[in-house]
Amino acid sequence: MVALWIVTALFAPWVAPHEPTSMGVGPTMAPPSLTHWFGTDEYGRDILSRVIHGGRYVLAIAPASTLLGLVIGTLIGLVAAYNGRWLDEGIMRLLDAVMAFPIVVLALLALTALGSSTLNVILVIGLVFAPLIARTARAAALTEVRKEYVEAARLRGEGYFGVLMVEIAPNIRGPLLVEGTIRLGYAVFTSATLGFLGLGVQPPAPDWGLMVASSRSLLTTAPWAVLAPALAIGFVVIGFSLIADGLRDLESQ
Amino acid sequence: MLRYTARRLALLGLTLLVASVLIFAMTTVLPGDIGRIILGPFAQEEAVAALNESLGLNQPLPVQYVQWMGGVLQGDWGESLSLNTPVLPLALERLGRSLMLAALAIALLIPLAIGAGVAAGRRPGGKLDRVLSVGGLALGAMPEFVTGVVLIVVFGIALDWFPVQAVAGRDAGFWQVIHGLFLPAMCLVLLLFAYLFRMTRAGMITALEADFTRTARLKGLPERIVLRRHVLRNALLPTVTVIGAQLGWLVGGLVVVESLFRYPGIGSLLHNAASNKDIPLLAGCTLLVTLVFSVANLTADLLYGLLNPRVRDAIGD
Repeated sequence: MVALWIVTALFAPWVAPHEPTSMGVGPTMAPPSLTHWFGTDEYGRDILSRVIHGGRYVLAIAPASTLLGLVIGTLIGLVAAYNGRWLDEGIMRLLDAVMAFPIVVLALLALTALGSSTLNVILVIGLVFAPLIARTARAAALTEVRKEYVEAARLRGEGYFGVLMVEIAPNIRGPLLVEGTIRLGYAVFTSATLGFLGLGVQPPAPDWGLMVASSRSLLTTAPWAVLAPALAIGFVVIGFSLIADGLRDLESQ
Repeated sequence: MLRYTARRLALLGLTLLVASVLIFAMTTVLPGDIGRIILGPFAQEEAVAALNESLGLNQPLPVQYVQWMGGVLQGDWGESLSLNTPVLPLALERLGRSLMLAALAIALLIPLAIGAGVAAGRRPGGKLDRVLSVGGLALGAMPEFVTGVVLIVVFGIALDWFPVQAVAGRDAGFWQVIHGLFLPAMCLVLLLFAYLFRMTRAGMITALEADFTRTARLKGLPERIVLRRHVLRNALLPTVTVIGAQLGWLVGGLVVVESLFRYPGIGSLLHNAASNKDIPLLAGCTLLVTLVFSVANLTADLLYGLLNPRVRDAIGD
């Protein structure tokens, strides 16, 4: 499922039968037919083409923001675990406080303040995910920092970040990988939600969440215009949660 | 228990402090020129400067923060820019509606998820367990507006059982209101079901394998009593905290679900404030939501401590 999505999104300009933003390629609000598989929307745009192109935004946003969250989160988690004591306590309490914000509300606030753009969406999702990843990284690193190879590296004269990134980080990659995959699924979820709320990519771009929101008023007259992008999101999200589930099983064996 | 409560209260204080600084920073510092935002791009430079002066925006930031916080504590939450009404009464009224929706969702969620978790946990790996686990996982990962759209199309339009817009008329009776709220509440239930279900199921499995359960069985107690007295009591403990932790998702879900169903709660108010760049309203709504959410979290944690002496002692010392 994920592979199908990645391939169609990458080759969207060749796979999609029409330009995603060109209006009047068919009649307006036509139900699904052989010429327009998913039907057309209120401007006569081909929904199948829009759904295929829409995959590209998610493909760009989800991995980039997850990677950003992983890098920042891992760094914070490692610093907390390695230094221990008051720095650890301070960092974790601060993260608890930040995590007390509901994620969507935090992202809503930040994007309103910063303005909506694809880059800002990536930054915001990455930053709100970082505390959660930091927690996982810290928990995994806590057992590692007491081991002898860390002490050995320190005595060998390796620098602070050398010990963190070269010695400890590779040894906690298992839990981080699982956490990363779970976050990737949630990144799809969050970016779609932000699109739906109109805080992500701006119209007329064919973002899935945005398509659902803008066709909301057509629900009674042309439900396919809303269903197609909604189901596309569902499809990708299920794919991710199956992968995450499989990885978790592998990890626990 | 006292120490635990004190610690938890201190954490609440810290959370609210960090939250207020964050909200202040994001709504005052980040957007840049507030006067320019209010007056629009064509206003004269002097007018913008004068407005900024009268809003107190030329003072140092810590002073502004203290003034803002002082106003908030005295119940002066500022005026909404787009609706021209004081923020606090508006936000409180909308919060009431949201709490009604959230309460219905939780009232549906808890028996459903716990019932399913208990049923699945009794025979892990069985057919019922597999269906519920995979189905719950898939539904829980789905954005609310996706399940919402499907629910609307199937139950609102194709079957025509429920209204598509959630708000009932002013003189609607209790059942009519519930009827209108059913679809959005179900949306929230589907969002939260997976986690609660999984926790209950895991709790069931652990409790069923525990020594005290074996002892109870070997004593010759009937299965029904073993389940009720020994297994369920222990299995449901972790579930209580999970309900608290899930409130964050519930709040996020409210923003989306209320917008989708055009329900005038605090979530859709927050969304409107964000789309209109109505900064005072946005700050007020976020603050109120964070406050309610933190207090709810605190309640769940204290309840857990009360139910489980082991945690209370471990954290207290």
